[in-house]
Amino acid sequence: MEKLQQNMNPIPVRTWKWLGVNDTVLEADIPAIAGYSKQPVTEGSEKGVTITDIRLHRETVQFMEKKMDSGVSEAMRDFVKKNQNSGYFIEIEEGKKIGTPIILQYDLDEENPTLVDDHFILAHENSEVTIIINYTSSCTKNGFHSGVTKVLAQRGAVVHLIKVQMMADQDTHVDAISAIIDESGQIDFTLVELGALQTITSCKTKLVGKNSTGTIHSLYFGDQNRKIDMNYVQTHQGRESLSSIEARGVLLDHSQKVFKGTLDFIKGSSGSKGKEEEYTVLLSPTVRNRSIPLMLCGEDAVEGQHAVSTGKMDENKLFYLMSRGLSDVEAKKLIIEAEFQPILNKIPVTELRDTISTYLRRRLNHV
Amino acid sequence: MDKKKTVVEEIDRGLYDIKNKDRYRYKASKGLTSQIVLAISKEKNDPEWMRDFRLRSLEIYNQMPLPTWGPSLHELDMDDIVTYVRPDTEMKGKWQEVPEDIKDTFERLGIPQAERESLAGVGAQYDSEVVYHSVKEELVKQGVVYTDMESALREYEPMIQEYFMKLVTPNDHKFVALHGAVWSGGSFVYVPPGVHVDIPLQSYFRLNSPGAGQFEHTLIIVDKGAKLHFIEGCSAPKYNVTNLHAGCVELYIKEDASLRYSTIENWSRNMLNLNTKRALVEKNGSIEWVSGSFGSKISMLYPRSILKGEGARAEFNGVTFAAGGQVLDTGAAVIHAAPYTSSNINSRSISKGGGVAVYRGAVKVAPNAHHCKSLVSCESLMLDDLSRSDTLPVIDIQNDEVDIGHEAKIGRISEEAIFYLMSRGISEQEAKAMIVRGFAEPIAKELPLEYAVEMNNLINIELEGTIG
Repeated sequence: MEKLQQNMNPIPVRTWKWLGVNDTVLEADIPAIAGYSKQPVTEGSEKGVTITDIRLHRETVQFMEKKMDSGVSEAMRDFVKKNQNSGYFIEIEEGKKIGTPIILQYDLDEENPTLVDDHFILAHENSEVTIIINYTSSCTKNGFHSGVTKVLAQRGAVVHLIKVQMMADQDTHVDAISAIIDESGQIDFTLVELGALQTITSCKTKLVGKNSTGTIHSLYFGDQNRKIDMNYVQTHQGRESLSSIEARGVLLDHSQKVFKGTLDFIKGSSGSKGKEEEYTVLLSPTVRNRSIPLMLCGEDAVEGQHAVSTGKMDENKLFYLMSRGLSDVEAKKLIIEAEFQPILNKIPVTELRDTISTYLRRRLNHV
Repeated sequence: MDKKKTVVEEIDRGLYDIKNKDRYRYKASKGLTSQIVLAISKEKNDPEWMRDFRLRSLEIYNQMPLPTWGPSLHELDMDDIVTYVRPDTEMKGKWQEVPEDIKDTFERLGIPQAERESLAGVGAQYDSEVVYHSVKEELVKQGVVYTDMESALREYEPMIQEYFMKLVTPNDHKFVALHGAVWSGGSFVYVPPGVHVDIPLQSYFRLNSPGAGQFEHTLIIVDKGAKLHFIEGCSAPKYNVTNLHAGCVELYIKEDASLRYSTIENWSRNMLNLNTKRALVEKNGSIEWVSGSFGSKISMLYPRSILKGEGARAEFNGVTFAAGGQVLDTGAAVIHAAPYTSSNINSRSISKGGGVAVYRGAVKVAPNAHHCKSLVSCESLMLDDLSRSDTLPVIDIQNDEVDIGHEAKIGRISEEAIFYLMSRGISEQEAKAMIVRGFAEPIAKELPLEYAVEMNNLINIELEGTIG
């Protein structure tokens, strides 16, 4: 087990050891994985979508995942394969545009304290789909989730994958996403990391096809002793591919965050553009905020840029709101909500958005 | 518009690749053992503490692994590197007395011209020893010390013992441990409180013997309220045997003092340049690095500034030009260890013809370092699709009263810019050349251009005739 917990989320290119950012360690012990007995698929699916047990598609999955990145670590990927207790193969038919989002709801509780999920989303040519995977937990102690989600968007397909994590304060969340985008395809990820004691996530996209587009919008919230480690990679292989990474977050108390965002322009990806932005608002003197925005470039005809900015809340904004009669805490809450809004707005389901807002407000009570 | 590639001609190396006959009085046997280290120590008449220090460093060197990051150093075989070569000449006080062939090389590199243009002092390191040294009289009167490390060790022993490798300790990494064991040569500068050295001091390092490593040590102490500009330039002739440079620079900047440290580095293309530079800045002091990296086969060079006192400042301006066969892994690190400190890093890199340019940086803010500010800006220009350019910055912040910004851009010459210039009647070739020069300009203007002779000789990037 011990080896499994080491060397997670390594950065694509190593740097100085003294900075301690080359990889991360999963602190909690990995519990024995029991079954997950609940039914996560809540909605009856539309025509053009088939949702089946992933184990029925072993060969197909094996063939396609060979080209995909291994996620947080190879050891963890193998662990998920072996211990998987839930997993779906979601297939969208060619040319089908699915209007209603497909929702997978995982809720850990005393009977189901461990979840190891393995999903594969296959969007055939010119299809469109939005998939939401939501992780919550009412575990009183040490809930554990580790999962892998693979996405393949074929030519012209558009996939929007939303992952929301609002697990309990003592839980562990290890989540990996690997994706491939074919010609003119597009995958948008909206990743919301709010709960769990330790969060280790990776999202690695290969923009293989010409004109493919990949975006990642990420939102995180760290308070108490939470530790968040994110590793996002957009690899440009195809010509004229477009990518963006946008991360916004707030840190307070003793929370710690490591954000690794990489734009990798492989030789041959001429005409590609990549953009990366990260904004962090720091609210306590005891936080630790680490950012590693990498840009790797083996092709000259590309444009890449990244920007990171970190600091306290804008005092002018605070002053303005307080001059309107809001208390310090209320003003801060409002600013944080406003900060998060652009990313939350990407979630097309009103109820889920409201749940997240309520959850955030409750958490912000002690700002 | 036609997507034409831009080619920037490599620096004409002919001038720097002049080899002199390998002439030496003492040459240590190949490889590194405690016998060699003891022999070096004896040869140099080290005091006892220094001899022990060397042996301790050797032990650390032998225990430490190679770094697990950065460019591959597989071609480095320490057994192949003669660690110490002492040139066959005594210390010279006058230029005329320097042996003809050595003098000739320096002459071609422009050092005497530089002196004629009233340099404050010239320290020329030929192989491992300083062969020529002079400091203007008025500086001596002001109490400024500028001498080679060996003399400093004799004349200012207590000061050297207090500061030598206390900022960069042998435990830091393998090559600095090696340095601790076999260091020789280098410069020592002490500027007394309140003294402003108006004219820059310059030191020139040069390697000549094939397969010889150079491990010079530079120690500069700028005392309270004092001011100094120090210039270091490097060049070496080309040899087929792997050459190693593992120098060490320690800069102590006291309260209200300021130091500008400029480097123009142009080692031959077979050199492994694994240099360690560090500055410790006290209250309201400032360090300003100006760094131009053009030569060497592999460079790993990241000047680190430790802002220890309140209000201390660090600035880094660096330009890196990686041509075919070169891996230039350069950058800067700043550690904000006190409140109200500020740093500004500005890096430009150009890669062409298969060259690899890497910016590797770090900004670290300690928990107590509130109200600190840092701005990092990296820009990379790729001149063709054979080359590589990577940006690897790390930002580590441990309190909330900070204002930190980082931005980086990567790309090639903008076609709109070329179009604009061409619409003004400038040829495509010249337009591209202008843009490349303009790209390096913010850094180039910080380089000591008054040393026109040396600069022109060292950085002769021929843009004309090869673009388009």
